[in-house]
Amino acid sequence: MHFIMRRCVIGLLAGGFAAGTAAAENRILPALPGYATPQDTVKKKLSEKEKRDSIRKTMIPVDTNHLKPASFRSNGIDMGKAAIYPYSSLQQMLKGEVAGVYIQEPSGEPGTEMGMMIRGTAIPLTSHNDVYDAQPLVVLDGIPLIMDHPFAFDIQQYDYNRIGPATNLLAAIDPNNIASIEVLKDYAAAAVYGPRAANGGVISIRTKAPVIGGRKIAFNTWFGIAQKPHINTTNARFENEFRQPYYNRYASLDNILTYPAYLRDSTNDAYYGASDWTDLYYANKFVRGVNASISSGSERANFRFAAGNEQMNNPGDNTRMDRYNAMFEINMVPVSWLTMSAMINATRLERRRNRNLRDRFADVQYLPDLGSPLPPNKAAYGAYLTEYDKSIDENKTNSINGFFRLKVAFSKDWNFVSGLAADYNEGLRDVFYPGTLMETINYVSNYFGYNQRVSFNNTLTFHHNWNNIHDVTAEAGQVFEADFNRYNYSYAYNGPNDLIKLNLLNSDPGNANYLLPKAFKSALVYMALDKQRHRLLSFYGRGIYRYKDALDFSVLVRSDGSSSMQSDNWWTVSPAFSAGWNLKSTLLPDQEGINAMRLHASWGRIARLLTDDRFGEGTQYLSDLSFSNNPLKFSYNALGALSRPYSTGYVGNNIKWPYSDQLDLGLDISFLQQRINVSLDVYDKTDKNMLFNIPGGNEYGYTSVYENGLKVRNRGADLGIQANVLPKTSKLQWIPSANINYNRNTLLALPGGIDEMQIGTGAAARKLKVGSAIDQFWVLENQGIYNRERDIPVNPKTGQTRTYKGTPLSAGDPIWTDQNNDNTIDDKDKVMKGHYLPKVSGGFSSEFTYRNITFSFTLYYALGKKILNQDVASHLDFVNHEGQISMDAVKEITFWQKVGDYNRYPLYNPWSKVGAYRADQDLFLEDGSFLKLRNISLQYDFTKTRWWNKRSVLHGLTVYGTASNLFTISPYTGGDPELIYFNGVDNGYGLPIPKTYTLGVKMDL
Amino acid sequence: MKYLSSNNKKFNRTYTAKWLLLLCFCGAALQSCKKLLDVDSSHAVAEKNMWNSHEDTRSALIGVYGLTRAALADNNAFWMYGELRKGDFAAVQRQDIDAVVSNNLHAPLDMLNELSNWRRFFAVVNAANLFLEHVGEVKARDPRYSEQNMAVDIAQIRFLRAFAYFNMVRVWGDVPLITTSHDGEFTDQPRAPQGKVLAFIEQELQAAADNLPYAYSANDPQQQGDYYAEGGDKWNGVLARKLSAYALMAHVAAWQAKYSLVAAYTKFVLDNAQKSSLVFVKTDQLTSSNGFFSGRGSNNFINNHMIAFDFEFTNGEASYTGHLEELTLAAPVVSKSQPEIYVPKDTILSLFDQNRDERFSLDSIRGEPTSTRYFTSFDSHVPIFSKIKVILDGGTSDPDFRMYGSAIIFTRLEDIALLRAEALAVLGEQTGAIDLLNQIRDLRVMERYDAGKEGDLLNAIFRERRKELMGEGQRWFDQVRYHKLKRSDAAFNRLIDEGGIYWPVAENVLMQNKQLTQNIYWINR
Repeated sequence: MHFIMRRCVIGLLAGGFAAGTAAAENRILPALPGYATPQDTVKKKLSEKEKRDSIRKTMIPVDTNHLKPASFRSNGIDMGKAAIYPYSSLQQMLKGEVAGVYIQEPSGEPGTEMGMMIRGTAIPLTSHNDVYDAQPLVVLDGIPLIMDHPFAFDIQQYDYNRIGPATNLLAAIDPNNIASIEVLKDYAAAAVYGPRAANGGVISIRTKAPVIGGRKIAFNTWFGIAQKPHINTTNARFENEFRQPYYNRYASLDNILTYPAYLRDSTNDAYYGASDWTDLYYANKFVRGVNASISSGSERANFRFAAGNEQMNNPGDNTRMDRYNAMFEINMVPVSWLTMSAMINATRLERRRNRNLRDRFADVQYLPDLGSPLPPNKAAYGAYLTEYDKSIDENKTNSINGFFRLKVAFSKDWNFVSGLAADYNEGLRDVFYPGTLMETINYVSNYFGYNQRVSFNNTLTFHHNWNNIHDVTAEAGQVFEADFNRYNYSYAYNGPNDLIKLNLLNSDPGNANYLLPKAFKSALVYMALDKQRHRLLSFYGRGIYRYKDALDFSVLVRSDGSSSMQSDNWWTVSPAFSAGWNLKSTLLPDQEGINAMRLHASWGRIARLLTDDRFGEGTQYLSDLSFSNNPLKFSYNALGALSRPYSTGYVGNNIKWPYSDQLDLGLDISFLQQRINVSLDVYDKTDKNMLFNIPGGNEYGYTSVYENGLKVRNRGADLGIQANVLPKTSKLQWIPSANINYNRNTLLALPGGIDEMQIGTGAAARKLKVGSAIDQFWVLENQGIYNRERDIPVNPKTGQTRTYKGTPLSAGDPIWTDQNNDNTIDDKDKVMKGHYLPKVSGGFSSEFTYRNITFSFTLYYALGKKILNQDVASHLDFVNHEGQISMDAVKEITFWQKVGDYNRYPLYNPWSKVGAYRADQDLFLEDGSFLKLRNISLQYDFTKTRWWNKRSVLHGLTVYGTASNLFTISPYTGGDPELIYFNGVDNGYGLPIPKTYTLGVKMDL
Repeated sequence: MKYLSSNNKKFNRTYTAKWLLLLCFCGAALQSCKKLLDVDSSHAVAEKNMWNSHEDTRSALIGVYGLTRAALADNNAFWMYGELRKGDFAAVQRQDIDAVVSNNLHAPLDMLNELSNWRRFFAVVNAANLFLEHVGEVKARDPRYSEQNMAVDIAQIRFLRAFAYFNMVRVWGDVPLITTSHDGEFTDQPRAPQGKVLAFIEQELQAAADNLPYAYSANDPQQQGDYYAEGGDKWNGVLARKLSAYALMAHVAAWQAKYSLVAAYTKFVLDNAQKSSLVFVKTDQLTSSNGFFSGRGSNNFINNHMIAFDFEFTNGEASYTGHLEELTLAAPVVSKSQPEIYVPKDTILSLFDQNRDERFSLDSIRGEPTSTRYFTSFDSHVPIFSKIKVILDGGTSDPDFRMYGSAIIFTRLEDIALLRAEALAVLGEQTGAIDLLNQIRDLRVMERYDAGKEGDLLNAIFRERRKELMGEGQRWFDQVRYHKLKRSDAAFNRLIDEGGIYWPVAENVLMQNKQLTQNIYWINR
């Protein structure tokens, strides 16, 4: 029902298989050994590749992809090539490779979270929680992978990082084991994966299949260096000079008296000395990867085993991630009608996190006096690091997933597949910070959490082809998925000394102090335990009909029951339809220039799950004793308390299923002897009835009310083009390809009939307004500075000077546009401006092959997105970032570097009561479009050289070199325009995405 | 299916086997759907599981207390509303606090916006309404839930609801009067006239007072046996008692200038104080770090809190915020370079002008403070207000961990005595008023009232309140009462007349309820 770029195949088929592949795949079922194959469906003997695919077929439901002409399937990127780059996660592999998939990389720190969005987002990203909820489903060999649940944010005061290791669980997949990655954006294909596919579709990964007949040993290793960036450091002298003009022009005596102590004393070498902290912060680091696999077997039994290790280092802040992976897969055909397959994939991730203060204070939920920031001088900063080295911060993640499947072939037409799949991952984090780091308070915390999904599914399939005219597939399936997420988290403060780094409890049940802490004061030990349970039971039926090679139709009807829905509303039914028309075979068979042309259309509905199990309870009670800056209050007078969820929002008894509808129209053309392949899709995706927390019920104690009714539309187009520029006979081959996505979102309705609402404050302040986009900033328009008192407008009627929310403006304040001409600047004068998600994104790559040498490069771009430069805003707003105990006043060591140009901004009065340098004004809104050279590579294949002994045991020997992240072109004046927080704000916290150079070798025998 | 025609016996057998296998799988998978999908959340209690036993009423009751504590502690609201506004404290650096101090309550600052939001008090009201609507279900379902237990629970709930409304009325004036939960149908309600709300408060408090005991688990005729199977030490000083209701009624009456009622209620409290083990506290007990303010843990005042909300350290309830200490303490009392607020030296010297006052006085010879009870670092530019300084459990002088365990004290016996003195002075009973004033002065070791030297008695009483209750969230409301009585300050009169004594209602509250209007004083300001 769709072509490559919708169901974009990366890999697997890079070699360009003949048109027969698709046709053969269509007939895979009868190809199993043991059957006398009837004449009408199979015409030729299957190749080895097809046999491998036949076993692979046991793992996935009916593949609608076979409706696609083969020429398009040959398009894509060789996964073998993706494995040569120092990628540490699935997101990095996908970045810029697939039209409509946008990757957000907020930090170059290895193993940290990255956001993915398929065809935009329907969920307004108002909190970190929402980013979790907006992620698409990732399926590994048919196993729907379970991710960290955002419910842990409930107990966190700051949501920068989820508690626990917060490791990107999609970094657990070794690229060397991946045969292909497909992105199913079309709902006709994605809907079969059920409600979890509602975030724009499914990313389906297939691992490499075992070989049949013979043996294959593959080896791939690379080694390289991540280069430290060039930084312009500053010291107190610079800062002092930077602030001087403000003091000269605006400061009162009081302001001068409170001049920060660390800037006052110019003889203090720690601040005024050489600013060489970067020597300790940045260093060139090695990166490496190694993977080996062995595969062997016959048609009746075969296996593949692979093991790998990868170490990613970032040159910044000593951060690192190690991955250890082992994978084993086996297929057995004990009797001709029965195929048994099993796979197990185990990974351990260890992560060394950054040492920044914000993340540490957010963990500790305690802020020390922030009067003296970290000094820029190496000696002083080194002293801090020496103390830091006494701390413990261990982050480990273990992930194991696998399946066991039985496929029974009743006849050549009837098949039954039954499978059990499980995904389990656990995160462990142990933290100890010595008292020397934070006044004299030490801190210990321990986290253990796991996510577990078990799924059973049964599928009965009928497929028959009548004389190559009518081709019918019918499928009935049932899926049951049980999810369980839980965590145990405890932390304690102020232990007796820095030598006791563990919060041990008395473990003897006979002891009167059983389960009380041994060393820490029990009143300063806090514990949080929580769990989420969810079950999803689904039934579906699907039919696919194809008439000759001309027309095809499919229909899917699915019924899903979710335990997180309320009991009178557990079930929902959602359909999907598609139709395809092969224009080439029906209308243009004689048209030489056009080799293939297919038009297709689909409409599908996917129900959306509610992510918290408590919605299923209806009106409910929980502990709600917390108040600002105190997220962990659960008792009063040492007794548990229950009340309605006043501070998180009313949950009523009438919550219904949200769902997502998508209409998709596509055209695939291949012309000039398949030298140019184009695939275009336009889509209209509307998410309806989504549950949203809208303000209301304040006089009944609630901050807000959860109601169905949020409606968001994403409209756009995906385009993919690939060309073989030079004729096939040429020794030099040049294959450029490009993908591009254009996407716009619109808020069509808010629940409760309201028109607009405001969320967040400061740089995160956003407005949602029906008819506008959900990813817009909400800012005051800045038009310069009032240099003189008399420039400030006066209301001619009242004689009052213009105010900001009642505070009169004065000289040195910004000129903000008074949109409604009421001579008062307030929230009504803020405008929705810019988008933090790109209008246009995609990639461009080129591959040159000459004999045995391959050179390729990939560019990655995102256009039409804006960035709110909070980093520079906070620097200019130094007055409000000094002398207080709040996260705003935290200064990292990176405070001592110069990013951007402060002279671009008017010299406002930083002491102004109207907040002259507030972040929510368009003064700090900048174009964040960028184009990056993501990587280049050069490969040299020895086995293709003339002197290579063809009888050598080595089938493949390739050496390669790569370079990544060489340059970025962007009008953005801050740092890297990619290192942006999910809400479009540059908070300056991302570690650089480093320039990385590697050398590697691949060997097959 | 023509291939079936060419089958043989073996094929047939396997064929049957295959279908049997299929049936097995299907059978295993398709259990009862209802059973599979009926999963109870482990972090929320559904309505059907909530109102079944007396444990549920206890959790709900404690919930209302906890919500009240949260409402008062959020952004240190108790002090922002009652102490800082035009009070004796000045902000060191923070603009938002400075705006409160100078009554610039509409300044565009996050904290002021949050303080202008009354939602947290309505959460108390809603939780109380739900309790009153559902308590009958528990009574019907749990035989162990006695009539008396229910009556005492209901009385406390009504007390807390009235307390929430009283706080709102004092802060915002007219507020919506909502006495049922309206569950799920949150209709917009307009603001009710303050008088109507106050009448409701008075009626509720009288009803509560009638049913509340003098003490818990002490065989009070109105509460016999152990309350919720716990001894009195668990409850007294934590839960509302009969005198708590009377004390609050006295404040409600004073707010309305119904001074004869104030006199009656305060008399009732003072006369019956010993029934609830309420006593006057000596200056040392008041100001020591493990003294009166440290809650109920390690001291001898276990029953002495009349209306208070605890952050008991040993229960793990101590916190960084929601305490005056967060604002007032700094080095050398805790490790923090500067406090957020302080009392300027001039104010201190003009107020504490007697050289024997135990709270604060200067040594007449050396000119130095005689104690650090109320103020530490008096020599520095920014003296530290250290009257309340409960670091952790208060038993420590370790200045390093800025976590506090002090309780929010709404009123104490000294406050009631001075309130009575104020009432008597207004009512013209000079002698009684002077006796009470002198009773407090004796307690703090001061010279007795001398009309010749000090002039107006009412002034002297309010001045005494200002010193005695400094930092206890009374100052602003005292000023309002004082200026309503005296009407001697033109600027303040304007505040009173134009509604400037109330807070603005938060913009986002006004947006979600179209029936509401902003307080007139704050429109176009």
